Amino acid sequence: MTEFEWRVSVASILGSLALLTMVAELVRRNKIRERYAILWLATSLVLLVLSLKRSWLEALSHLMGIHYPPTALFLLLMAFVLLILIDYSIALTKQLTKIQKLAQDQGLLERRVRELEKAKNA
Amino acid sequence: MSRPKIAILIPSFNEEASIPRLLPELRALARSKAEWDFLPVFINDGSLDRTAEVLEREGAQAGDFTWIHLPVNLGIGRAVQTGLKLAVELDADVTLQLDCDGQHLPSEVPKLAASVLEQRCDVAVGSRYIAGGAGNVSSRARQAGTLYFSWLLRVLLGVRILDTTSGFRAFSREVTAFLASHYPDDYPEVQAYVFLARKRFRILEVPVQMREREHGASSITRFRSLYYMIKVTLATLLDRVRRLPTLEERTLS
Repeated sequence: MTEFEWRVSVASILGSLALLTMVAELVRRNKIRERYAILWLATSLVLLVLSLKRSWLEALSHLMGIHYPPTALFLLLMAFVLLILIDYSIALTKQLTKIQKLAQDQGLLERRVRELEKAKNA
Repeated sequence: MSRPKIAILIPSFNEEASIPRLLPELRALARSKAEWDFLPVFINDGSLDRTAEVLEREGAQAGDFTWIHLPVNLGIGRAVQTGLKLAVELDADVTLQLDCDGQHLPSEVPKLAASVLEQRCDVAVGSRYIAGGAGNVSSRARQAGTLYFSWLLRVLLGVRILDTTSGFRAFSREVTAFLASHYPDDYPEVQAYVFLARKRFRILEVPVQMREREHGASSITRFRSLYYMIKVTLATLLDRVRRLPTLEERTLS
């Protein structure tokens, strides 16, 4: 590996380390729940391992027919980001369903309280 | 049969002007059909105008209707579903849906409710487009859209409904319980039929008169109608294959 080729490895190692540290710190500070951190942690760990083990990355890019191995890293990152986005859509839908049910039940309960108070005062 | 209990769900979003006009018509209905118990339920879907005040004021005096205030705007689908949940709670024999804006005539309610009470169907749809129905055949574009949905439902499910965008409908007790747990979110007029047809509920169109809407605009403006048609088509196609609860599940929830 030439000195120039080393640079991309160093950059991707630093990049994945930065991502890993950031996510870990956000979890530690309770800014991200574990459920949402898992995919991010997986992303950064996979990127880190492939940045460190150049031979694995080369095997992977060979398998996918990619000439320039670091491109495989990009592709992998893209796949993870897509996965995370779909996961977010699922989470959003779940939240929406819960919020709607809460609002409905709040409305029904408010009515019941109103009726009970009316009966009490009558 | 003891006195049938008829719940009339009236989704209301910014309807401060329509409510005082609708109330006398509802009272006339109750007088004309004294052998039935009518319970109008206004569902205030997070209105921004004085809908809440109007309901509180009128309701405090009369007490012949009830209302639900939703804390935020949930949209027509979830608003109606809230009413369906209340109808289950109140054990209504028939549950109707009626627009607040004046286009649905309360005097037509007995016709729809009777179709369900006499077990001629599980869902009665008030229709402008079958023989005997009339009125408010708004724009040609709207009519074309309605016919398109009619075709879509026939092709997808083999059900024949002409007035597919009519929101004037009556549900049996069983349908009410089912829809209370599974009501479509976004475009309930058309989408609900997919669920109902898949569950083999009997749907019957009943001719009714409709009136020009007095207040407020249709939720479907001409400008957005094409976009609307595409979205409803997609949603309907998805509903065709969506996972639904089995009959056993749905009685439990």
